[in-house]
Amino acid sequence: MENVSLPLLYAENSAPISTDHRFSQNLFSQPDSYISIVSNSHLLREALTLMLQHRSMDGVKSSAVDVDLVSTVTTSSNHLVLLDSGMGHSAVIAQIQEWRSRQPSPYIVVIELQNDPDLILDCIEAGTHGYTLQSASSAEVIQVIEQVYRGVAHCSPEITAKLFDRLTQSKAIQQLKEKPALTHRELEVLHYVAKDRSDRDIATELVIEVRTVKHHVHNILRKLNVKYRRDAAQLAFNNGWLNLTS
Amino acid sequence: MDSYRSRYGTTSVIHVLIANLTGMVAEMVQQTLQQQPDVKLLGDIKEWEEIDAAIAETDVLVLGVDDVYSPPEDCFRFLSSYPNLKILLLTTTGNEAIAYWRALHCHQTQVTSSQSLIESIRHIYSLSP
Repeated sequence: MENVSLPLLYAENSAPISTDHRFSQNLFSQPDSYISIVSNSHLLREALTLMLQHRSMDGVKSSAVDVDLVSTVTTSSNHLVLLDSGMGHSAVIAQIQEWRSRQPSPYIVVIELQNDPDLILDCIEAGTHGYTLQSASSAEVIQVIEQVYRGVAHCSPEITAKLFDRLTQSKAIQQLKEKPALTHRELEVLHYVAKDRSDRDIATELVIEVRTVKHHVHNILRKLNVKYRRDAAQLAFNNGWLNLTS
Repeated sequence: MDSYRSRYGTTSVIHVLIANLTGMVAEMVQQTLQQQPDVKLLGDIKEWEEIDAAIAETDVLVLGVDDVYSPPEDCFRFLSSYPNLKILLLTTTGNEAIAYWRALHCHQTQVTSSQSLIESIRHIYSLSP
């Protein structure tokens, strides 16, 4: 992957392409406003750079970098990073968390996301301020940037519903922190569930029937008020109920 | 434009059809193609079924894909039905592009800007069918 230079692209005296988009110039024109584009795709970087140049952002500076140079992105106040999700799920999440841990922390907008609710929710949980899907037009991307600078966020109804679900799950998990209320056998099963072992493996280890394992797993999920085995495992990890070294 | 025509030996307008490109990249590619005097943009198609209606008069089909090394089955159908057609598969998540023509011929290239995309289109158009 080639390295690219970090040119400063000043968008001066440029006029909006589209007059129907109600673009608030002053939101982008705060002192020291700076937008970084982090993407592997040259075409996407060019498209974003052109978009920023053409959207009347007097005084706003921007630069585009390859994801290999992501560490060169330094943050400052009023700094916004457009992060291409093409760098991979875990890398995107890790990068968002790293930037959010900095002081000052930049605004982060993840772009080119696939319409995968779990991925979007993971980005939100990691701390992204906004997101756009692969099919987003430049006007839509500008709108998201504008909203982020204004301190508001927009999610599709589908994502909002899933966010409610996650919050409910999170609350239930919080309430269960003190008292797992699992039997000794259920804790044993949970121990193997947390190790990502199949029901058949667990049955072999504990010398019980597979259907008995399924029964225990069902009870564990019900008692912990979670939908998935991985949520039960996460809950156990978080609360130190298990010793996985044994 | 004359320099391009002399370089690539083209004397006519290149009819380009865009398909399956979305978002800002599609906007930029469209805009860039429309600015080229030797290119006529036939359309920007989002639904695969609509390609059939426009493919007959297409010289170069620019097709957005996830993986340039796995062309959709229909590409080969188009290439066998239209011997003069060139297909440029383009991934917008990376920078790879592969041009296909006459079923088995292919040419790999890097698309690092909208200008290099135009260059690639002119180049593959100039290749013998």
